[in-house]
Amino acid sequence: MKKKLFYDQKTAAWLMCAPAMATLLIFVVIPFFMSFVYSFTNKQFVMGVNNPLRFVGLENYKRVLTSGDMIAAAKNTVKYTVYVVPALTILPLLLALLLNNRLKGMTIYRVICFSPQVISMAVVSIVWAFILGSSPNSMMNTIMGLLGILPQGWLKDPSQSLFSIAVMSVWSAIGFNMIIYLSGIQFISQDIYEAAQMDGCTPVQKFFYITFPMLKNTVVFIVMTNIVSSLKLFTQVLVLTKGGPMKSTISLVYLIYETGFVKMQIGVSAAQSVVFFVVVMVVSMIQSKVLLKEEKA
Amino acid sequence: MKKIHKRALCGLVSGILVLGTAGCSGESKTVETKSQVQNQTAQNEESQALTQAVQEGGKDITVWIPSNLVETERDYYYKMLGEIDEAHEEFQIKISEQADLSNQLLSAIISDDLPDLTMSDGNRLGVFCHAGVFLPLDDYFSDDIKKDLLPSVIDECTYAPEGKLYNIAQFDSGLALWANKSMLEEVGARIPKSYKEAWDRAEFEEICQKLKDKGYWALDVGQSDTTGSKFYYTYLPVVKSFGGDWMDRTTMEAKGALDSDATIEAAEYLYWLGQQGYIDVMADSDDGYYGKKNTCMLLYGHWMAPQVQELLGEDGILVPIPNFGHGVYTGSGSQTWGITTKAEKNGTVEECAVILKELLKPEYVQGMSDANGSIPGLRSVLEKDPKYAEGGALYLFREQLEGGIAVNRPHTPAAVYVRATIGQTLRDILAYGNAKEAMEEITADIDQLIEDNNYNSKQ
Amino acid sequence: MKSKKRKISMLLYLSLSLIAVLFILPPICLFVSSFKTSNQISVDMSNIFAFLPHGRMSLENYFYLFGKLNVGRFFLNSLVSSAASILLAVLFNAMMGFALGMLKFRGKGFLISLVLSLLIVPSEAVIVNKMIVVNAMGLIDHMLALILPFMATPFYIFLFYQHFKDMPFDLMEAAVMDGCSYPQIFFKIMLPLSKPVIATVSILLFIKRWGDLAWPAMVTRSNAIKVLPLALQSFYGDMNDWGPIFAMGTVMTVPVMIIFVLFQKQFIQSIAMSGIKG
Repeated sequence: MKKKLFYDQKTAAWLMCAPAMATLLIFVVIPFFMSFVYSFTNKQFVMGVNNPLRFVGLENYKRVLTSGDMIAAAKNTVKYTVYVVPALTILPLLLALLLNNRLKGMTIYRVICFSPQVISMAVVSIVWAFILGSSPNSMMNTIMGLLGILPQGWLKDPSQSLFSIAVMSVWSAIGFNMIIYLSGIQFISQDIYEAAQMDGCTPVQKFFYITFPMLKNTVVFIVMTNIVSSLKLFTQVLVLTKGGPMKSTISLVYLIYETGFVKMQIGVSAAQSVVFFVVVMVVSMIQSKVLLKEEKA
Repeated sequence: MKKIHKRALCGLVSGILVLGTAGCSGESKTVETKSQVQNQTAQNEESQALTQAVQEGGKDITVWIPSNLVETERDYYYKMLGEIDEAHEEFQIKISEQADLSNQLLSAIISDDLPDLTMSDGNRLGVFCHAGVFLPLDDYFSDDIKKDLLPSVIDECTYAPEGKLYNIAQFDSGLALWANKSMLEEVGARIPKSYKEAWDRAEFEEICQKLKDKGYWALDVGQSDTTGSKFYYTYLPVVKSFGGDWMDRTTMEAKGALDSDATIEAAEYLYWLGQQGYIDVMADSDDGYYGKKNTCMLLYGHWMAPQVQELLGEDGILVPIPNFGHGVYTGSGSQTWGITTKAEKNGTVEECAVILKELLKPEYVQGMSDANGSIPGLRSVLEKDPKYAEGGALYLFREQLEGGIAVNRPHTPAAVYVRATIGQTLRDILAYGNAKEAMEEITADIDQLIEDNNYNSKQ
Repeated sequence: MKSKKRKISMLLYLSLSLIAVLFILPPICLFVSSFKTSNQISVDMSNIFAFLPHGRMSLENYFYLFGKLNVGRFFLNSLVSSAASILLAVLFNAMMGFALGMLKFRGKGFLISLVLSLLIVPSEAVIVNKMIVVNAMGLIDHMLALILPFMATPFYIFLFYQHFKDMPFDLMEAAVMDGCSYPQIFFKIMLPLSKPVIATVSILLFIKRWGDLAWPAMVTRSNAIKVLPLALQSFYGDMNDWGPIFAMGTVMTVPVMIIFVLFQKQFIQSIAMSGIKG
């Protein structure tokens, strides 16, 4: 009997999916479903003795969609995405082009460029907060001074705080994106380049007429994944700014966290997370349609 | 086939690893936690042996203490609780250190694994009482003890809306301006010998200007922390002195207090101090006073005492917070103890009450104060404490608390949000002004939260 | 011609080195500062000495961390929870990826769509509810709370699925004809051939688990289970004492760095592979 079980594709398949499915069910599906349910209630972190759990309909959603905090968080998150995504699309490409040669020692450079990825974001935040200190003596302000620029507030200045955080994220993720570009570039057959060389193309022409078009898929992949992960900005805000100064760094996910943990309003927080989920889903779908359409063409 | 066996073995090993780690739960026995502390003093080993020894019979009492303690403090807690444990055969004390005590108490309500007895943060009393964490303690403490406790301690431990005592505390905090004596003398400032002689506004501003002229920063208020986390505590006395408050203590709403002209003026004052060049708004660290020594005054609490004594010696003195028109005030509020509703379920309430009474024994109150530099919460102990003797460097802390000029933070269930938002807003005002609008906005936010969460409705 | 080539190479090396410096300096600052006193760090931050040994260097900060602050225990906790997560996650995610990618069965399409749609749910959004679930299982402050939720992740299932989807079918057909059962095929044949993906998932997961702050903050209570990022955060919040903070950051970074440098070849290769496929 046992032998038959494992020889049958269907049973084998379901058995092999079971552990993962169970985990996903318990730790992803159910919590998400709970979020959905709680978003229609007045649930707090701890219900007071005189405040029973009750159904409140769409009140949380009304509140969430009109609240200044949510709008600020959305603006900030979008602003941050606009800072990060172009940087993480173009810079790693340039880096990959530089590294795409047969000189000795390229491996070392590759490793060095990638290494920031293995440092956890909490540590990256703290080190960069140190570098971007606001006192005139801080490392970055000293460098600014050498360039004749006045000391800046960086994380303390509402107009620069989001930018400062973006710098950390870009520094951390350049290497990762670069590797993906590099493999995409190295995938392109050398013959095409040789043919172009014989035709007398300059390196610049080679890039725009060969490299770039053939990298389209890779670029699309990078843009898509970076947009989605930028929308999830959280760690730096939690460790460094907690949304300040003057709400300039409050991000969507941080808002969800703050509403749940500081304001203790789980119901509202749940409504926010449902809205967030919808936003991410819509963005992903738009991305798929717009960016992948070209591939099909 | 052999490969299958290899794989199975790997799976088995991993399984064992997982099961092994699964066995590691967080129920730390005192022995387990302690065994990691490498710098074991003799006291440590003694209390370890004590708690280990008393394992037979009697009820188990779980006690939670915070884990971010100074070494002397931690050692003393273990010693003190160990001695109490040994003196009472009818129960065993199991100490569990918590990394984030306040939040973990809240989470424990959800998971129904509150300890029997726990330390807490005085300013969170409202949060915990609203959530039904603590049991009232009035019956366990005689009027004599209550009279001996400092008024600020009683205030901190009494949940205002009900007027019942829910916590007790062994000590209170001290807050004043740490000042650099040499710098003050250099500008010819009068140095007050008592809070009754505090500077008034004009005198304070004159001194600040003179300090600035000499090239010093006049004041550090902990502004290097961009979230302003200390302001809720350290700035309240200033606000009171301007005639304002964080919340209306009768209605337990922010309206009428946080948005009052007086409070707004006090908040705007921070901005003014920055604009005048008295506060280094762009500071990256708070060591201007004790490290770099380019700042004359620091608005921080008693916890600075050891550092100040070490780094400034005779030059580190205390000056009362100035009188900005409505009197001289100081801050209050520190760590407290309480019996939880879980103890009621466990039937350990009487034993916990016994422990609390033991904690208030003069020897332990004195010992605790020596261990963590706080101000003893019992008058009888404070009077005899050499650290706070008259004429000493730290006498002002004692004088202020005995004089009853301490103000506690309001006992609101919205404390977490109130603290975070007032702190952040004040820090923003310090740098960018716009006090009126900012304060009115957060007043509305706070009151909205109180209404949403039904904090003020009567049972 | 040769000198022109040499010129270009020189330029290339120069620019790459400048860029590499940008990447390497912050970790160097972290590492070097961890041996300095806090005052020294403040003094050095405005000049080149931030990256160089300067003043009195000692292991003081480390003694403080491992002695008084019990960091050794947190290190162990981080290590155990991360390692156990990896072992289980690789196993379970690969099994499902294999089933979805290579086996034919009804409901396969549904499961694939399910996994794809779950890719979007951001974990931070449901973290409180996850905690409630974990609590209902009685696992608060238990090591399992740091392991179980991560035994399967839509993204890694997807990676394995992509990988197995492209595996040659003939291999499996041959094995079936030899009389192997599907689990046997999986363990004996497919898994050994999946080393790159396994490496990718392992390292990505390790980095994520090792540095995770939000989840442990929710489900752990006592020092017996505390993990490194939590400890780091409480230092950074409470004090501006740069010495121990940098030492802590170093403790958190060095192990991962070492593993990365040792396995960088496979790892970078497999990232690259998944990039192309994606």
